[in-house]
Amino acid sequence: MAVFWENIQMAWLGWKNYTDDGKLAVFLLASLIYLWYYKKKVCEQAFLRYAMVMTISCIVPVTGAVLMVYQTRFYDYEWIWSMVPATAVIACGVTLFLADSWGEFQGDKWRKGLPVTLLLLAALVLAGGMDGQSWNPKNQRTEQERTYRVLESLTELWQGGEVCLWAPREVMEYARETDGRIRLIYGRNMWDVSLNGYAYDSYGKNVIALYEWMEQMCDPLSMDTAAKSLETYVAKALSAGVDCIMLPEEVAPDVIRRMEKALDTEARKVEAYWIFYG
Amino acid sequence: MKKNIWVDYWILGEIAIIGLAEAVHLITMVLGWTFERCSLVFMGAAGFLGILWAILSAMIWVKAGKEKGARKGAIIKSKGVWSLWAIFFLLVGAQLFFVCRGNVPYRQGDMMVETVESFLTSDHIYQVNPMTGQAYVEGIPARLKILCLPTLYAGLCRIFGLKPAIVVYSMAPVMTLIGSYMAYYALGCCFFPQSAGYEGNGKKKDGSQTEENIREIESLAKKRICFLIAVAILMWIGTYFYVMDGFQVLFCGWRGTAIRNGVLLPWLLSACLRKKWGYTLLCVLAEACIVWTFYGMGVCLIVVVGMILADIWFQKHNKKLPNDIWHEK
Repeated sequence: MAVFWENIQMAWLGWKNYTDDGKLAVFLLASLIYLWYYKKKVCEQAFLRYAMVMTISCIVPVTGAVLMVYQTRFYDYEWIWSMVPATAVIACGVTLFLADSWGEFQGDKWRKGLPVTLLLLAALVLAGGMDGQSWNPKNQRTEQERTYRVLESLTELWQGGEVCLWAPREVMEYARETDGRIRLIYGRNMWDVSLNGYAYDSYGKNVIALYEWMEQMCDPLSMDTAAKSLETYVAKALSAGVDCIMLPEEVAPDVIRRMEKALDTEARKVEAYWIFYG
Repeated sequence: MKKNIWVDYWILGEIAIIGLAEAVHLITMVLGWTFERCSLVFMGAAGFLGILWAILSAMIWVKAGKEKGARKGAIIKSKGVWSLWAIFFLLVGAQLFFVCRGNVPYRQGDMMVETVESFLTSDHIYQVNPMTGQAYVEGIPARLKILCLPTLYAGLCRIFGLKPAIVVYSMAPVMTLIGSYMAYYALGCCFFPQSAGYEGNGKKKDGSQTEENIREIESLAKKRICFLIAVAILMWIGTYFYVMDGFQVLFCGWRGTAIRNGVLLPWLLSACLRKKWGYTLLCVLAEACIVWTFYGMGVCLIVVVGMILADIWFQKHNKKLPNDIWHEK
């Protein structure tokens, strides 16, 4: 019962979340009402009634919770909206509304049809959002392109075989998709926790400590503190099988010297990183 | 039995490829084949399927040509219809360009490219953790392990010598986008079917074809294209949230959920409206092969059940779709 109550709460919060960024849900409801009252004879009744029942089921927290149980609670509340043919309903409503305004598209009714079409289009654009608000693609693109260049340079350095890499998060993020021969001490699932469901494996304390230390090294505020324990963490990394380490270019010259000594190699600078390999 | 629309063959082809990839994927896992061998078998089977598909398409094309010959004079020449088609293709063209060139894939919660890379590098399926490249310690959930999309994409990489990022981030979303409009076209034909009193060529059953008939047929064609344009616009503006159809198709079209929401579900609805129950079963199976439904039954099944119940409960209100629903030309 407690689980079900929790589901109801999640469904209620999920509905608010679903309608927070864009308002296409408003168009869905408006289309359903329009189709229901004005176009009963035109629209496919089974489809219309199915869409209506499922929309109500998704909005009402109790039925929403039931649908969440149906999808085994594995997916978030928002995914139950896949069961509602929202795009089809809105598109059907819009088409029939415009057909009305344009005189069933048969005559010369552009004086009424055109303004209505433009107004509807404006309302649709305002209800949605064309900038992908849930994440920032521009930042991702810049980061991705920069990291690809770094990883290509790394591939040229080691030439063949396999390498086990330990690097700042933004490099680790794209390493495995750039080249499958690059092994990592920890993967993207360290910070993107939704990926942890894809395997039963989990990271040990040592690996988590290495991740946290590298994060500190990339933060100008904690860089100096982290540098104090450099040798300890490098030893941990080597014992875990790492043979290539990257550090951000902002690290102090002293840190580079100590790294070179600990790894018995020479540092190479590629883009915004120091690479220690060899 | 309602006649198939040409778009049905496209989507059936996509489902056949999914089924083929699933079969090869399962055989490879059970028999412990290398991925090299798996891709060879996949290539052979896909080649056979391709030839079969080409022969069938040619036969359908020839048959359609003959029917078209019989319907001479029924082609729509309205500028309005062609203008609407132009707007639609402009929108879809922009989306294709966006997916191929300007798109930034939404990778959160997804590891498809890493998985494909790990298949190709290790030459085995799920021998190493795609996130790290290290061998699995505890393994992965069985329900996840049977999903076939990584094998399909890795097979395409091996056959065509392409990088996984290109196949996953560009090729697959293009196919999903095209498949999605095909599916919505099928649905549009169900929403705006040709009146039962007409033959496939737009003429009335008694053979008459008046100016009024032509206007009515043009109106029907315009409604269908308007429906597709509305879908295309909704795809663009529905990119604000990760579960919206537009976001799924334009930002992560390689994922199983995008194929399900963008292609399978609209086509499934059209199949339900046409009472093609065999096709609905194919959709349910295809979803099981490409979407990790955890250990649940998936979305397609509940849509089919919902549509059947809606159909039974409200049977007296339902219009009966004519046998030939799509011939506006």
